[in-house]
Amino acid sequence: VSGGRGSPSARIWERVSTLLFRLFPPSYQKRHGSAQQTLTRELLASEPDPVRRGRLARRVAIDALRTLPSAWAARALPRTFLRPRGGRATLLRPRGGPAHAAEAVWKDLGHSLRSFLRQPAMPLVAVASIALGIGFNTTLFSAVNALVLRPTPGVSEPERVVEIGRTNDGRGFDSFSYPDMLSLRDGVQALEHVAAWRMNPLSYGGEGAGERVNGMAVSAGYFEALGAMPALGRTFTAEEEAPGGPAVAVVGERFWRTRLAGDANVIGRPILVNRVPVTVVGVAPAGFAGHVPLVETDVWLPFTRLDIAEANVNLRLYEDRGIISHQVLARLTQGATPEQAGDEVAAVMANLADVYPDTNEGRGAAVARLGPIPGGGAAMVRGFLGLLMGFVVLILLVSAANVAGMLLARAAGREKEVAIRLAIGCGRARLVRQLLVETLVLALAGALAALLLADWATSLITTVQGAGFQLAVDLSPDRTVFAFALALAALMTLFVGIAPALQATRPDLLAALKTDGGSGARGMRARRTFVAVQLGVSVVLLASGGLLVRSLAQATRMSGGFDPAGVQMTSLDLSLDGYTSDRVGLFQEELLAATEAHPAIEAAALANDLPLDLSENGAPIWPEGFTGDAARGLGTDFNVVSAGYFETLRIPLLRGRDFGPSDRSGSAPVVIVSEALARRAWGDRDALGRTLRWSDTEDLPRTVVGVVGEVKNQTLGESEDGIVYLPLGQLPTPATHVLARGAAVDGELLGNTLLAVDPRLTLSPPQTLEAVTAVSLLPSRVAAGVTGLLGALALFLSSLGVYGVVAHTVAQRRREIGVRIALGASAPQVVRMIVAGAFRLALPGVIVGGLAALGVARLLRSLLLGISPADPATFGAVLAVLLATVALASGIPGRRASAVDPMEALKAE
Amino acid sequence: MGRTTLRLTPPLYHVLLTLADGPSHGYSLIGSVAERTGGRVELGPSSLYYALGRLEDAGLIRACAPDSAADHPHGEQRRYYELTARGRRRLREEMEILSGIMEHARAAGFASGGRR
Repeated sequence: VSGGRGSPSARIWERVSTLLFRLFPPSYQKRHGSAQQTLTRELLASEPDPVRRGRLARRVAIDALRTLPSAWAARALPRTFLRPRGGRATLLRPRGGPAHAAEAVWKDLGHSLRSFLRQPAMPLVAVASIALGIGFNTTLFSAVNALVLRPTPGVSEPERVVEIGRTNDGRGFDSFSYPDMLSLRDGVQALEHVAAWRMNPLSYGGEGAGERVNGMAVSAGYFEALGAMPALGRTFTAEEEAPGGPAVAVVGERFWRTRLAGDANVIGRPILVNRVPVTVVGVAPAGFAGHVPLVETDVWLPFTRLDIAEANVNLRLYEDRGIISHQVLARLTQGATPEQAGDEVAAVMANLADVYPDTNEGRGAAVARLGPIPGGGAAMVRGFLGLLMGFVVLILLVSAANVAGMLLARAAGREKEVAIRLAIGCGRARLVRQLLVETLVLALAGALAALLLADWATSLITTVQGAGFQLAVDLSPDRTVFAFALALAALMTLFVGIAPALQATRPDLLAALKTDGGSGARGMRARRTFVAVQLGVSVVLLASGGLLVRSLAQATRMSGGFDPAGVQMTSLDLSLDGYTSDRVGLFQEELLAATEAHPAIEAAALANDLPLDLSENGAPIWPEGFTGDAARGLGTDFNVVSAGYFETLRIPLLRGRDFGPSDRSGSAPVVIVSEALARRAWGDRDALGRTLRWSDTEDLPRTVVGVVGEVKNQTLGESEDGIVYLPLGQLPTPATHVLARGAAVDGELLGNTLLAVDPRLTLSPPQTLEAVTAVSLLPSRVAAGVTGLLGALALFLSSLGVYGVVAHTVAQRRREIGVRIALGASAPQVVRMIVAGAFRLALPGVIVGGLAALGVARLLRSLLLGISPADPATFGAVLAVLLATVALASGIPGRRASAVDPMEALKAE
Repeated sequence: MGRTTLRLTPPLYHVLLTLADGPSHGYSLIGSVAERTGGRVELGPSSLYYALGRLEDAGLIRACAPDSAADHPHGEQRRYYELTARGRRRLREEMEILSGIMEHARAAGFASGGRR
């Protein structure tokens, strides 16, 4: 509907209505949901004036809020209570019992609302503080809920879907080889529809530059295993599952709608995938984004046509049990348990190990239920989210301490009122209840605001496009999240409300009645404690955030030992373009020469593997003088690179030389090693001139001609085991990446330069190296962003706390300050005294917080790159910021104190 | 479901009264009720559908097909309601009671002839 989008206020209120509507009983939502939403849209669309529409939207939200309790009551209360049989109904209103208590609480609610509305400043600040505290928790919980707790959308009977990972000597959860997967498919009774899957970025369409889409190669049975049957057409058939079978595809529903214009006759239509015509045979059902909803799949190809999906795939993978190439999921047969399946899978794997000891020795398999994040990723994501959850719980603590401080201050101000009510016989329980209800009102208002915040924040997260991939998972709060927010509000009420409530209702009657309200020494002690807690937690959050931000800056500057900024890359596979192996080497030299010759390109190189692209290239080597297990050799990563690789990526050449044109087939075999590898192989002795055997198929050992700096090959967190670099000139492999550095180099320039050498080349869509490596930085980026923000927030909240306490102290010490000034204390002296007092207040919290921060920083170690957990610069800066904040927060009331007129202060008593 | 009797609140009265003129849907019900009461009874989407749900449960109204070839673009999403025979009977009973009350009130000098 909607003509022009409404004013901002209309949009906010619409959002409130939508949120509130989700709080209605499920049966109500099911019954009236679509009709009520249509009506709301019609109503709002009928009001052309934006201001009036805003007001209308607000009335709609209030209407929902008013109806909400009745909707639940109608469901919860027995029908006969509301609608007695026979006679014209009157609503009975029983006295006593739970209903009576509920009514009393209702009255308290009204009372607190009115008292808050009379003096809205403190409640507003408290609600804002609670909203931030609960909001962060709710936002993160929404993510946890969507990524870890909720079943994968579009999968039917998700409890029956499992994934199978290969284990190595009983550990790990790795990928499978294709023949092993087929053995499982045939040999396990407890599983039906065992399917292979592998994610592949694809290029879609286009004579010019293709569009990058998310692809997945899956074997027959994939959609059946997930119970996600196509909305149009069919899935892959068993006949299509033969290497070199027909080029067909199933496309995602969103892809079909947006790229194929929702064409109902799309079945049988060819589309261009990686520049290969592929026939669409099916459209996946709406609401199914693939079994990895985080990265919505656009195009599924048959696993047996990996040659379309990947230019440089080794097609022996269909027969070779030694090549692991994909992950596996399956559906349990009706009534089977994952444990049964696990036992059967283990038996099959044990049998394979006997029959094929060369490839399957020590290889088992584990079965796990499928979550939204498959494979080893789930544990990682769970750990990461757990860590963030820890931080947001800290911010909740700060906000709770903040609100508790405010409530204590408020309670101190009401000592007299409370004393009078106690004196005239009001029960203490009743007073405590009333005070708790006040806190509950604040907490509920905060929780509602928090839900809005979470709704907004999660929609923001979803619309932000990740580096090279689109987040396609619905993070918006659902009923679980609502329940979570309300539970937090309830907890908050108890923790925050109980102390001030007890404090306030236990005054020394006489003392309270005599003074004119609010000395509250006990309350003050509690408030000081709360402030100390806030400051302590702030130190933890600021230090963690500071460490993460600093390490991120470090990581972005030098992503794991190389500099990806300003580098463009594309991939090609010469074997697909008709180059026989004897011509590959020569053509690569030609290609490289042409690329380097382009004036805009400063440096260029070809390489078999890229650092930090999450892919691995492992092989054993046998260094000269090797003393370890001769059969296994020394395990290491390797890369086959052309001359110029180190220059292009700015990897420092520490000793010796780079590869050069002379390192070609027939010349003396050479190798370059990274520092860590040199150390592992030869200790402190110089590696230059030493030899190593790279593969047992090579006749001659290779001589080390250079030592280069360390590079993180897969992820930034990995330990540095070293890399062996082999010269492309001596090992011309047809599938390589092309890298080009230059400020003015973009994808088009690189593509055109390469196509100028041979216009028939099939290039993958060019992208920046930063985009390729950004994926590995994502966790650090998110963690740094979240903790940095939380730290700032905690600092702000604790500065409010410090300010509150100091201002209160100053007000109480007015007379004393007046006397001091009368006796000749100067204004700066008074300010200094007040600020010094604040430092004494802050010190214990800061010290304890600092120690705790050191402990937390150790937990963060895997996310900290290039700086120590006890980084003195970070801790120094945090301390300085914190002390400056305390000085500022206490300086303001201090200045006010220094302006006290001694005569007035003394007279006031 | 039909045996219990629903207590009629003002919004429920007005929804029933409006439906007495013929089948109607949410959007026009809100408008008619507001017009009929001079804006004194204002229904929002939530309160309206809550009311409709209760009236339907009490067997006083039912969902029906859009009247005479709905020429509305929203036709398929809009839900139409009409009075049941029971609803019609109930409305008549209620109105009799009310007019009885009105007569008493008028006799006691509490109400003039015209408006409420």
